[in-house]
Amino acid sequence: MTKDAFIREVRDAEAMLYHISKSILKNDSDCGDAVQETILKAYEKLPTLKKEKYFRTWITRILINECRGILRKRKNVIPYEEYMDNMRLTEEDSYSHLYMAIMELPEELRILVTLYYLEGFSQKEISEALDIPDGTIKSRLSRAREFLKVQLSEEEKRPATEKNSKRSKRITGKGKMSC
Amino acid sequence: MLENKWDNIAPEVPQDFHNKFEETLRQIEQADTVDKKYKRKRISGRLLIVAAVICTGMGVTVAAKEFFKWNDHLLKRLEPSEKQQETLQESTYIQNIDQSVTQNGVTVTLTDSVQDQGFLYAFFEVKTDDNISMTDNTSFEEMTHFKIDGKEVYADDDNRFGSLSTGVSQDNLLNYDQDSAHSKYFTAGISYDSDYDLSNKTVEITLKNLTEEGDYDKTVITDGTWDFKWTLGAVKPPITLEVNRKCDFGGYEITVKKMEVTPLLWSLYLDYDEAMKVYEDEKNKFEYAGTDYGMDLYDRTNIDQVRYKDGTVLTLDPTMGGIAGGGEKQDKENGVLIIRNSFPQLVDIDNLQAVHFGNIDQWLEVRE
Repeated sequence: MTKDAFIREVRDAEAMLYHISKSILKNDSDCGDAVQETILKAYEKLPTLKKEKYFRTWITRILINECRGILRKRKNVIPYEEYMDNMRLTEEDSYSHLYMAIMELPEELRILVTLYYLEGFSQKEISEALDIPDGTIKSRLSRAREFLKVQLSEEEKRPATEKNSKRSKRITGKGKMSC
Repeated sequence: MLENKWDNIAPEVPQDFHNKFEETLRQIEQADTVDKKYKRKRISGRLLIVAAVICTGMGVTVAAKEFFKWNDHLLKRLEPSEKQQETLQESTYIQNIDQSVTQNGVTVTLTDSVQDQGFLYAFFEVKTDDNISMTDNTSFEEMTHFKIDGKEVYADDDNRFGSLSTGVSQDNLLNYDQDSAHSKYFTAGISYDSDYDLSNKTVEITLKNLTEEGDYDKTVITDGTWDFKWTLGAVKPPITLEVNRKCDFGGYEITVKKMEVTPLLWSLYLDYDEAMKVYEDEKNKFEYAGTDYGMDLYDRTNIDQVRYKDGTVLTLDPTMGGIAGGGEKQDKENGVLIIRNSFPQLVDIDNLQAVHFGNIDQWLEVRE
């Protein structure tokens, strides 16, 4: 793949890279760091990409490794800024209920739902990107659907005036736990 | 039932993120070269000299054999019955190859290959000198070449194999641990979903650099390339069983039109419209009809037992998985959805009477 083609492919994948990194890291600043490092690493390792049609899976794999590296570096410390970023996430009115529910899933399910439902990856592509067996993907997707079904059912039952405040509390709590 | 509404729910890219993204691309636009970096852990200088001497004396040993002979590894790996050990001996389904290449203290032996309609598996034994230790994370840096009939399987203009996957790794489907630090079994292979016939084709595989895999990087523990070239025998076509009966796949009544089967591989041909209902529900609803097993058809059709004509039942080890993986093919034009998967051990297909789908506890008679 030429440099121009690489840049073109990466540019086309901008939203996808953002969504995937957000599903793991949650805050936008970390997403920017992870994606920047991913693009540079991918360019360095470009000769190892066997076929251009696997570009999407290949760069996703690099990104996920990068995001997990950032998570590991945090080592359970919750800096104030990150905490505030999580707060900001809950205040983001433009997020749909379904997206907020996705962001409340445990990390291993968030990433799967993002890849499968939001970005349209096939289960085979996910298996290659995450290096986990097909069977695990299927069972995790099932668990994710179950979680989402419960979350959204509760959401539908709740009076409209209560929805936003309760959701905010829940997500803020999760944000702390995931750090 | 709650419906999924996945369209346009993901947030837009924030401006700060976009700025950083564009700045990174600008850095690349201005860069001159693509650097390839690997951390390298080399063996000591003294050993390197010895290694170089061995390298110059590198040789390939080829021992051609007329009849296939079972070795301990394959017996443990494929678990053939005594009858199969006899019948397969004269076929070319499995071939002894016995090619050895030694480089820098690492001897790689291509012991055997198994070929079928849709996959090729090559079995390697890797032995190292005392100063080179292997762990569960030891692998080859890459399979530099994988040629079939003189052409790389990943060539850009190559559509021979349809959807394919290849790779080389330690044989993790063994039902025993590979404890030795100086002897391990590896497999390399290709699995594909086209009709490409491997019969009588020449295969070339080049393995490069023995490495230790970390979280982000690979450390080269021994440099080298190990080249192998061999010719496959005739691939016997699968047996076709005309099934034509409905089966309850956990809440979905689907007609199984036929089953194609070889000793290690099977394909189920399902009615397209009936089968696609599962996928529609999976994508559009938060639950399947019937019990939600968290499975699409690939898992609902997972075969964990087979029954032979004489009533004996062979239970397959579910932890082993199929030797060659599997896949799904939606063939709307021909009105079928094909599920392909493989058995973890050899199955006597001439006497196959029924298969059991373990996840939904359902038997399917595949012969009258």
